[in-house]
Amino acid sequence: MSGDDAFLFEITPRHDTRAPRKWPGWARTRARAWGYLLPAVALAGLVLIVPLAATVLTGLMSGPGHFAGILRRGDVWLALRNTAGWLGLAAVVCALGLGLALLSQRLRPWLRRLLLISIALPAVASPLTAGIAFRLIFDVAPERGVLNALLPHPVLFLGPGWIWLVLGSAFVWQWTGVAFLVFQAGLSRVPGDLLRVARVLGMDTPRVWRLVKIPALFPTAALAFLIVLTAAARVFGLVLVGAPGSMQAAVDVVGLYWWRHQDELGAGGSSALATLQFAVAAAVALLVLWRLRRELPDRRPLEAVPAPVPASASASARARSAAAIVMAVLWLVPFAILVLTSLRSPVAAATSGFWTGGYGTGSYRDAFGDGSFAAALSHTFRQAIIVVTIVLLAAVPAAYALTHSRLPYRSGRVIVGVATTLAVLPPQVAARPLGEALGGWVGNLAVLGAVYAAMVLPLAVLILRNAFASVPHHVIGRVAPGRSALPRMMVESGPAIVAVSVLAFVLAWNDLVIGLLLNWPAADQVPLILLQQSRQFITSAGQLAAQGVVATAVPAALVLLTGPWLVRGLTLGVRR
Amino acid sequence: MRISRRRALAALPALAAAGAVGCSGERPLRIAVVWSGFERRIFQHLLRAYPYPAAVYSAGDNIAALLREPVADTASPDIAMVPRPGLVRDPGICRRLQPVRSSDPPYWRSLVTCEGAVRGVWIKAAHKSLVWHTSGDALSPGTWEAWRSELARQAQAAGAGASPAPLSIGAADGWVLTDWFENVLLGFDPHLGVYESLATGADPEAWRHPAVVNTLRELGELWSTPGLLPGGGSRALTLQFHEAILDVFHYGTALAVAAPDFAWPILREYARDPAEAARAQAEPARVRFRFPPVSGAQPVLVGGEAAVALRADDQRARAFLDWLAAPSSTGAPGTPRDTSARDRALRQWAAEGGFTPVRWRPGYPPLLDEPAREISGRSPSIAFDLSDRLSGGLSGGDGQGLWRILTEFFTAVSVRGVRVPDAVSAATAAMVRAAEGGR
Repeated sequence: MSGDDAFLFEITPRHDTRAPRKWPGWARTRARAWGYLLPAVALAGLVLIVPLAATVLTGLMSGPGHFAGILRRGDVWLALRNTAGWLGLAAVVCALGLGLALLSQRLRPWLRRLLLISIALPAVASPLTAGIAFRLIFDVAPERGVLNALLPHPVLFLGPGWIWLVLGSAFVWQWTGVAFLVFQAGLSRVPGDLLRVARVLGMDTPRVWRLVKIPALFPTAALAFLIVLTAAARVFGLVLVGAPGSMQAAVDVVGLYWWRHQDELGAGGSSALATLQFAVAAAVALLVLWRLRRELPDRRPLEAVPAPVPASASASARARSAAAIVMAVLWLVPFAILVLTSLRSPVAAATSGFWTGGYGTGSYRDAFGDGSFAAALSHTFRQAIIVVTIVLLAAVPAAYALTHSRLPYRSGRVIVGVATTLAVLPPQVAARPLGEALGGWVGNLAVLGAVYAAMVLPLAVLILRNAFASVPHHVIGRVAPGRSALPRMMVESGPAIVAVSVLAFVLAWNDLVIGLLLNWPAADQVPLILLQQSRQFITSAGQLAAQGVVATAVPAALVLLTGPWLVRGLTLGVRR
Repeated sequence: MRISRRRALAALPALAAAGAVGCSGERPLRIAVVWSGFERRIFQHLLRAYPYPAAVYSAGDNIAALLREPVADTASPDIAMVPRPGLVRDPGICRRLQPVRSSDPPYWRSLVTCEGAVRGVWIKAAHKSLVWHTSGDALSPGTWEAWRSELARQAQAAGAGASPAPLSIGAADGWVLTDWFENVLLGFDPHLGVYESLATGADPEAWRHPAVVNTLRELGELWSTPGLLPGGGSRALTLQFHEAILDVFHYGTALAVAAPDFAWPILREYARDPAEAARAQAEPARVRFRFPPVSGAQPVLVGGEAAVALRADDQRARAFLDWLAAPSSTGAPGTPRDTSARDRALRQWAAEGGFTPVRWRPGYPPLLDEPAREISGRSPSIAFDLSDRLSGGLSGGDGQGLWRILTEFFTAVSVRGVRVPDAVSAATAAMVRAAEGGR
């Protein structure tokens, strides 16, 4: 378990012939190792595994009739097809991310940073905000929609067919940054020795790609794929707010269908559908993991900082810079539209485009008018802080137990495998039993916080575990025998801890699904307010844009403040 | 001890949601509403007249789940505004709702009566048989027949590019289409025989009744008229209710829109010519006529929201409903029996429009006086929105039930060019299937 680039490479259930690493002196007994694991296991068990099992059992126990009944419904198949379409789009997003990573390799540092920030920033916006921004851009009325104003004939972007362009581009906008980030880190660690050998052997570029770069990129690609695929399988708020009511049936996805029809499907039917949804997500995750069993040819520790290829002043370098600037600007357009719309009066925003004037602060006044949005901001913030706290309290000891303690090797592997599967668990799968079991408790800050924390926990453990595993041996060797290495590890893995905290915060801040399933109709979460406000979209456009801007500003500020740590934490884990 | 701590914790988010942490320490009354925007603001104005703190939650179109499922204690409201009386009469839900005292008109009371007790107080009603237009002094076409030929003439002129399209339809919102359907259906069934059997859901085959078929045929022929809608049917499918009003009163790309009384506040706020809107307020015929009846004495289509109390022995919820329902009285100032502040707030809404009670009260502006009178009538002169009374496979919002079937019907005739008889038989088959519970 040496330091590696992608944590997923580590969690692959592959055949490792080396002896498990022993760390004599710390975590003397197995009992202590299990003790470290206990909070995470308890949390994941109570919030994820037991409800998941209850859902699957309810689906199965009530007979195969429910599964057959579900699969007889034509609209379920439509939702499944649409979900498959979203999964396909994930491949496009990854390809685009790889392309951008290749482009950025040869850019000047400032340009690389600009590209990274503008491409990655949308990932922290809530899917609802993305839906709002893209619905504004693609507005059907040429008087309002910036794209239609530029075209000679109005295009019905929100109508049949075209609606996929709106939703799909919003998704690409949100997730390309993550793929870009991961690929950038991966590319910087293609083994230099092999590249030199390839060059000495006189290989041409396609062969270098085929024989060296692609195999070396495999773990990275799989990680990027897994993240984007999970996002694709969970698409929810974007569709809900981005498509008009008449299109909702046509663009339905499994998770949304489950939410809309759970009442009508009954306990058995909705459990069967939720099981199906989980099976799709798990199949995707396992497929990716299976492909990951290939090993890197070179397993030495890799350079932390990408080695930039010196920028030349040639024509192609200028073209690359131009392309990078175009992409960066393009990616900032939705934010710009959102901000411009928010700065217009509600009536102006509803009836005209941003280029016609009508600026003022009226939309912000409306947004904060009745106090419920401000209250929701403060409540959601407190909620997110609680989630971060719980995640760290459970995930840090668990990750420690999985790396540097005397946990039986096989148990460790099993736990990591389970964590990976749980990382892709759609909240819908656990929601119904969870809501029934928690009953009156669920709206409570701490209880709801624990639910969010459990949802982030698997990913947090995987990231932290990879970071802990990457801490150089000699650093830990300095810890006195008989004392826990955990404090030392935490210091060394600072970036990963920051990354996990930010991840947990952003997830809790932007969540719509869990709030809708468990805490609805309490209007104390920001995304719930946005969703309610979007019912008559155009006459709320100014206010929605204002609320979207404020709701995005909080996580964006957090990410920009922790930027360098965050990137290192997600891709490398440890400080250098 | 444990209970009180739990209660205290549970109340925190609600207090935050209310933005009204009072000194009394008692959590505010929680009220789940279906409104957002303007209507929600107006309702909050009314709440200010209530002497005790109250927090408003927006439950949106998804109120069914709220009534059926036990939701989080902290999220669970004391009162819910139900726009679908079909839900109140659902046996599973009815038992959860508390019997209330109501002085609403008999028809309205009967809509929310189940298992022998009235379960809701009507807070707001809507007159859904209205057409808003910019034709100025033009008279109402009188009958559906006359209106259709008038629309066909205007559509031809619009097709030639000479004038705005005759209609705008916000077909992105399914209820806009169901309102069209019901307005025409009431003409083919003025005594509500078929209408009631559809509403109760006793016989799925009732959806094949000639009244339904004729209604769909009329609508299909109208909606498939070329030039009827600005940008055609496919654009209409992307338009929401408010945007259709903008088409007529802001952009002037269409001449008329069929819309309930609560179109008025939108119209007033977004009208391109505020002076014209002001004139309309004094002289309603300038902007509005009754949905032209298919047959002479056709009932008015109405909708509305009833307040229901969700917890047993909840004295505060009951006190609130009593306060809402009480006739104007002279209770001691500052007590729930003192309705003077409530009446002031009600008068203010009346002036603003868009929030009509089920009981007509004097003092309405001319624009809303007549709709308010008509709403307070009795069956069969009024008929409550059918889609809101349905249950099972035909109920539900976006992408569900009757909303979806009519959206598909609209798409078939106005976008895909399906022959009207074929579209009609496909739609009735879908209706019967959904009513039977399958798909």
